[in-house]
Amino acid sequence: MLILAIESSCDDTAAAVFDGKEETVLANVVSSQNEIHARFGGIVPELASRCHIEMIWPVVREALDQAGVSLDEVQLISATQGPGLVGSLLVGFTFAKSLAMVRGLPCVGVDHMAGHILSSMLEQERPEYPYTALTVSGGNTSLFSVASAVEYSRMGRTRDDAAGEAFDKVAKLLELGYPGGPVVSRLAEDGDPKAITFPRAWLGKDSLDFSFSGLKTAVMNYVHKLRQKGEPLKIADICASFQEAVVEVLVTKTVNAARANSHTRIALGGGVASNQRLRTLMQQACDREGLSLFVPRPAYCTDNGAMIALAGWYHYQAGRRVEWDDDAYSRSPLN
Amino acid sequence: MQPGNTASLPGAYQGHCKDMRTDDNQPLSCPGPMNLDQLSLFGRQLAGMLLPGDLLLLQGELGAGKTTLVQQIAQGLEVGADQYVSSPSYALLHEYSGRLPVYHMDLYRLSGEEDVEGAGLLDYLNHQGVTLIEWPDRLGSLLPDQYLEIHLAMVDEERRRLTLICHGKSWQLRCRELERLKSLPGAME
Amino acid sequence: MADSLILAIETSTGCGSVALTRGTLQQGRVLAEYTHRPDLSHSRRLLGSVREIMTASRLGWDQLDAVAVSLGPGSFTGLRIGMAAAKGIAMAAGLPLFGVTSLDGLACQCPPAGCQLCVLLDARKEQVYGAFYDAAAPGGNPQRRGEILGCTPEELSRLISEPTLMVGPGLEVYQESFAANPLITLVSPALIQPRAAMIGFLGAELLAAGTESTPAGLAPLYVRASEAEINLAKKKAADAASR
Repeated sequence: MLILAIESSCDDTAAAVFDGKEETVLANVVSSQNEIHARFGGIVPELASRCHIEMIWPVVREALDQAGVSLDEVQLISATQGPGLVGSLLVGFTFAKSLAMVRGLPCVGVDHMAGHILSSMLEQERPEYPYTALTVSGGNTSLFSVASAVEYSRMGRTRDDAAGEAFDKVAKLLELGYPGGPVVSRLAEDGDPKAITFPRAWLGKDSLDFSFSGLKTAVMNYVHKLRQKGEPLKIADICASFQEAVVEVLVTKTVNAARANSHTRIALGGGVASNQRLRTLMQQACDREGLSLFVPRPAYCTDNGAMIALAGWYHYQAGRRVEWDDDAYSRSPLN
Repeated sequence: MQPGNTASLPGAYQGHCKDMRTDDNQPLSCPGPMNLDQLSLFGRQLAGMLLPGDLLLLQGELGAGKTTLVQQIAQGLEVGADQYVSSPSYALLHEYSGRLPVYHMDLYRLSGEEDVEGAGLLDYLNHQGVTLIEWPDRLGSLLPDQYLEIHLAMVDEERRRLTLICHGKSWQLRCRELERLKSLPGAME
Repeated sequence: MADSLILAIETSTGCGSVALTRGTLQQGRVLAEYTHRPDLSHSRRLLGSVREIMTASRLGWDQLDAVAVSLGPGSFTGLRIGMAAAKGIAMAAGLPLFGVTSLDGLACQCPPAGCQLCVLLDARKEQVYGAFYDAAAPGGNPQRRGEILGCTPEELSRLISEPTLMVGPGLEVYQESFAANPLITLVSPALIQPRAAMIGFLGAELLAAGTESTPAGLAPLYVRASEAEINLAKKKAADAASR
């Protein structure tokens, strides 16, 4: 069964074509890609979420073309129904429902979080159920116990800033531009992660919740003090020490969650899952604890259509369908 | 924009400066820092006076405590503990349901009013909930006339200076009420 | 193509309207029209309504000649939903897609009054979107004169120097702003509301005129309040030149 998936929950408009039977991705297109801008007349929008309505057609066309598939061959439509900006979600969701309605195809609405939870299943080496999933991005930092392709329960989440957001805000503080998460990680490679001891928010012994707002403030206070004294900032050390504080909490809590679940498998998802330091330390921890770690490639970590196709395929098999008048939602029932 | 106050109703309250008046949104500067507990109490008490359709603009640098204040206001608006009030920087908007619907926006990533409208955020300014906006300068000419402007400035790690400016009749009428909030005495001085 | 069958969607205000039309305004008819007025989310009723009128009219997607959609100005979220639906239908059914200005659709609903027409929609923040139309010639549609304006009702009123019929949902809120101007005749806003059928008729004209369909990049019309002064200046200059 060929699945066409559409995702428009935040900045990017994304589409994918997925072969359900073979469980292979035939195309995975994101609006920030160069091909799309070429198609779009070379205009790079200031804010992509403003442009979903202009991006949706070229992105879907590009996905079908790259897959070498015509719309006639598509048998299932899947789209992100929430969470996110309702105005953005409705562009992709309404477009998807319209395609399905005219073509007489089944249509499935998928939770964006489910996409990230399942994204490691897009790779050759995929976790068996059950597993513990850490979804970590600019908008979310959550831990889930994954019982099957359609059953997940939340074990913890951020109480304030998401991990990716903390990276972006520290980048801004250090005047590295915004969004600057990847820049912080790159600079951290040349720094000493033990140079500065920034606080780790554990939030109580058994808590699987996260908090990164205090860490952001601690970095800020540290930087302000040095600036006031007129001392030079060792940017690489600050980046490395900050990153270490984030990663250490993520790794420890994820391993604790797996242990609490008696799971032997951990899967990562979300944009920050492609952070190299997180991958390295998580792998080390898993080796130590006898756990298997599954991490999707970067293109499946960031927001993408492939994960929505996969989640849609699973939800379809579980009998889920949308009605034509179903609405998008802003808050995830999963989170 | 509307003048920030009228002759009989002080438009700005800041620390303990009851005799001061503002002209056309001129923020006043005077001492009166609050510690973080007092700021939290203020957030919860302010929530008690909020009406459907109210708009609060939050100004202050990174780490000034804007999101913390929103969390306290949300708590005061009976947003359940199961709905964690987290930063909307990435998603632009988070919605919560309490005594009134709460819309929390962070416009930092937007370039201006076209982005605000384009992202579909304008519709929320007309909703019958409480809308809280960080980085409101991005609203440009979309800014309505009635709103409460809240400035948070860092004094040091533990203390913040709070400035309130009432815009439009709806807030000017509540200015006295704001002054009487127990969390805002001059006792901090 | 004068008899073309059009599926039309109009979601520029707080209501959603869908219609099936055959032919143009002057030589056409409405086969079906469904307009939903309550302040419900556009999305919640839109596709269900499309399906209903297609089923009720016993028409298949392959019998349609084109899809037409309102470009606004109006509620941006509403317009995007209508446009997303229209684009999805056009892609799935392999149909051309045409965008029509919401104010033009409103102007078409007015019987010829022998004077100029001013059409307005609420732009919020005490502003309106407005446009002027020449009185329709016999057998013709009202012709828009110049740009769409984004301004306060008072500014719009000051631009009026000849007898004018004023219509549109903008009057629901701003009727009083025009009451003092003796040149203005107000039409009850309940009479002239956005109708998908008008978008369908004007879409049929674009199809008949051989207009190229460019569905991919079609986007809602922005008439920013900040542009009001520019547009007003343009209009004043144009008026001065025509005198």
